[in-house]
Amino acid sequence: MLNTHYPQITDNKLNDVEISLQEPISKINLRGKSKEFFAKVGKVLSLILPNEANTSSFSENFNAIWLSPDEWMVYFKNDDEKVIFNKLYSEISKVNYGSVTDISDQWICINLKGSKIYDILSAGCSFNFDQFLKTDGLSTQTIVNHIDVILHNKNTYNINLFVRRSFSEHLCLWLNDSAKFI
Amino acid sequence: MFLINCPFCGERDQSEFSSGGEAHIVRPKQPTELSDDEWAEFLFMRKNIKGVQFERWNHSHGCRKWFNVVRDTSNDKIHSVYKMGEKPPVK
Amino acid sequence: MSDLRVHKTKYINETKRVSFKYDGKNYFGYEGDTLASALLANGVHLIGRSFKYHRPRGIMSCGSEEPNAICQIGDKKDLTEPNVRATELEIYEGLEAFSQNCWPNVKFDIGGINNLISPLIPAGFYYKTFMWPKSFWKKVYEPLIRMSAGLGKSPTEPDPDMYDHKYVHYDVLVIGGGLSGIISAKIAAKSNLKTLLVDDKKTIGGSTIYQSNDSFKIDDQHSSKWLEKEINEISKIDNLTVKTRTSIAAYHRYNYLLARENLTDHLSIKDKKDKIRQRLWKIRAKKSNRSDRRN
Ligand SMILES: [Zn+2]
Repeated sequence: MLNTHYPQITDNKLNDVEISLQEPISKINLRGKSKEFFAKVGKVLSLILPNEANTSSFSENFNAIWLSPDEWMVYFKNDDEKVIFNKLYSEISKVNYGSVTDISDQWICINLKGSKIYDILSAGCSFNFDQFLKTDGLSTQTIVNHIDVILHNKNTYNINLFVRRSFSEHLCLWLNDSAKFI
Repeated sequence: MFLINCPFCGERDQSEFSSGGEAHIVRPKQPTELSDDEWAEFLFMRKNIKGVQFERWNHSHGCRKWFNVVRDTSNDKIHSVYKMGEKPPVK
Repeated sequence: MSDLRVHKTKYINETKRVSFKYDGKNYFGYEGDTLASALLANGVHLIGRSFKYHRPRGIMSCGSEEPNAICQIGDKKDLTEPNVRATELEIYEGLEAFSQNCWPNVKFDIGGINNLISPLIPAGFYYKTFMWPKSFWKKVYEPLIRMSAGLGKSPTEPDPDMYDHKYVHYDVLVIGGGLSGIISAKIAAKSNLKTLLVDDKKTIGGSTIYQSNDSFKIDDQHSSKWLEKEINEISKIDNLTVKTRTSIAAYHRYNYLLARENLTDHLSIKDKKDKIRQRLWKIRAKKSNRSDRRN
């Protein structure tokens, strides 16, 4: 049976690294290329999807992360998750402008904060964070400790990490473990 | 471990990619009309040369897009990277 | 203590005594000593035996190039480490080292008999002689050869220590912190390149740092004085990282290098506890520059 429980993550503060679970957060995967697709997304979310690779955009309530030239992830904290999803679904998916998928239960959002977070990530990630950590709003998809993740640099030394639910517990244990030895 | 410059995301470590073998192998238009030998030729036979080779790669842990790479298999030097559908560079 | 020691050098702290054991005997040296320097100061010269003929061997160099002073560290089943060069090992409180490749001990070595009869042993003697009679192999020859062959003993139980690894990216990697390494790292860093300088010793400076007499001069100063100034200067550069006790182990394509950093091997047994022992650095450099003139 599908396990939709949140991982058992104990919020942790170790060696100036804060690891905390950010759930529940709604996440929607958007795919499309057409002009109408961008227009509809803009209308519903009042947000322009980022065009440039490895970037993100945001509006008052929504964050959109670039995943691929025709794919984005929008995440937001809102009680009306179903309302927003249904609106996007009927405006885009139903009329074949693109696809809208609810991935709230598929990905888990973990917040990492503190001056040593990149030291922890670098223990299991070959990505070069030099540019990433300097620029707010950059995003990237990479591997941390052999696990696929999406990273979103919110602001200086404060990032949101998205990981598939089934890997989240393992990754959190690893993060906490690594934080001990930075 | 070499670096691959993904045409969509930029330079990343090889571990983020998966190889899709030789590029520009055209699927026969009418597979049913082929002999077993011709079909096997299409399915299995690859050049696998030492030297400059045209390959397909997939950024499987990043943007998940396919693209082409011209790589020298003897020293892993990558001569160029181009998107699917684009004309391969002439040697 | 014998007066073999050169006193009042900058790199040995003669106010801090460190006691250690070599081949079961107690000695002491000072903080900053390598096992080799401490043994020499104690008058211990015979430190190993040559591989085949078991001729007596002493300390010959002061770094990773040492061919003779190879020892076994510790005698615990899980932590014993063979083939450690005494010239590279910093002594610490509680260190136990043993000589290798000699039995029953370094002073009286049975294998040395090979040396006495060596004119009688033709090339390939080992391989031809121990072939017959066939039934002798398992019970007689093999145990004998195994006892006399090989260098040191490997641990038989799992390693209880903790190890870590980390990816890093630099514009320039300079391997070897001698005179030329220091200067090239400085030039690279000053040209706004993110630079890493690694050296396997506990301090950078190479051999120049010990050259404090009139025969070695740079800019009319003793070489060591001049270099100290440079070292002091590079320690203030922001985009230059210096990693000591770190040795490069592999150089792969696309300037991907592996380095091993020694974090706690030089600490006393008490201080080692619950700490990462070594860290593997996976370095991706845009350019790497080897300033190690030994090779
Ligand atoms: Zn990509």
